[in-house]
Amino acid sequence: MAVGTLLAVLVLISVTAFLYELYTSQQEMRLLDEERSREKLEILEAGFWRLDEHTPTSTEPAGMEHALSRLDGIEATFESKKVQEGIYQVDWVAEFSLPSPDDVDRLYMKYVGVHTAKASQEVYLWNYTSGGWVMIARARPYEGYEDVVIQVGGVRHLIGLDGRVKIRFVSYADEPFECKVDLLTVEAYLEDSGRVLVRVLNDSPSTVVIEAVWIISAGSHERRRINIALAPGEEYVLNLEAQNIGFKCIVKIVTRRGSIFQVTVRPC
Amino acid sequence: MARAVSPVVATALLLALTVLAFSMIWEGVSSWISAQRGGMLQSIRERFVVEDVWFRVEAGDRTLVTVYIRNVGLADIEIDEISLNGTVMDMWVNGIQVDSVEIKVDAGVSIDLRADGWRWKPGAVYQMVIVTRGGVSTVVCKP
Repeated sequence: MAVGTLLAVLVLISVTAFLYELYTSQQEMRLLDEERSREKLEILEAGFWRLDEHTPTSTEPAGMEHALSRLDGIEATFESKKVQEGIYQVDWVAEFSLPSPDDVDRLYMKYVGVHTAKASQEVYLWNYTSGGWVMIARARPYEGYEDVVIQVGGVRHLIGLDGRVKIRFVSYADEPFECKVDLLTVEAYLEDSGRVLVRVLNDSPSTVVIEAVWIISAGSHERRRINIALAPGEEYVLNLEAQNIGFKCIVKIVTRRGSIFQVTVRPC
Repeated sequence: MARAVSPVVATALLLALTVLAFSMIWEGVSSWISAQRGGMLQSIRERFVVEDVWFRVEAGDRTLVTVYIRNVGLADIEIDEISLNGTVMDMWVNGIQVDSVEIKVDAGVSIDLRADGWRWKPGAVYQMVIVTRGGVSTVVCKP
């Protein structure tokens, strides 16, 4: 009787262990499938572009360019001046030098800074044809941290013949304040048939890992391992070398969970 | 008059019968669990993605199809057969013909598919059937 019970218990344990393994596997795969079905990478733009990032070469007031060139907590501090009764203003300029001005298709300005009091902010670029400032963005009054990317198209008049770009920030408040800027860079999109640029946004509720990218043209199917994790809402620029592509190509983005997103890239 | 067996012998016989019966049950249960592990559990844990299918022409005007498969599941997979519109294709990995292709979890493999006298036709639609230990998957593709 005791031996029989012992053996029956052994059989029961092994069957139960197997059923548990079956159940946990089903749960794991259900979770994996759900996460895969929720994965969404939005392809914001794609083209034959090269992306060059530039840091400021000089500033007005002078000597702040190094503090602006890296997101490292070292800030350039601009103090406000009283311009009218009850109006305080911070006004500063940064200059960039682009090596291939004729090829520039568009510019992206990246700005990370802080207002120590609630202040509005206007951003201008110097128009080298008309000889005046052109407003490209206006921020609602904010206090504290601001992290923005400003896209500027139609840049022909905004870049000097020697490649210079001047950007001006003017902030206003009704009390004295400081504008502390940690980063100001310019990304220049240059037309380049030898490179493919794809800007993607993780539009899903969980982190997406881009496992690989396929660049497919008439004569080749090339897989490149990427391994980039994107948090929800995060943007990323894939700038890929693409030699001998010809007229157009297809870019397939493959995630670690196995979702595939693709875009056809044609010359601008 | 027949003599009854002694209690010691009877107990030994009963014990032997119990052990024999349960060893048969154990054998049956073990082989059932083992079969389920290879079948049901494998098919639950198996996931793969066909990242790319490339219809190509190689030297000598022969045609082939290159398929890249990545294992995104929780178990290793073994591809036993790939057919295109019913034609069972020969599988080649890194220039060597193979009977089956094993793909570890998170790994990917590029497989060249060829068949004697078979040519793909531009514009035609092909149904690729991939047979693994865990089941059968179908992918529709065209050159």
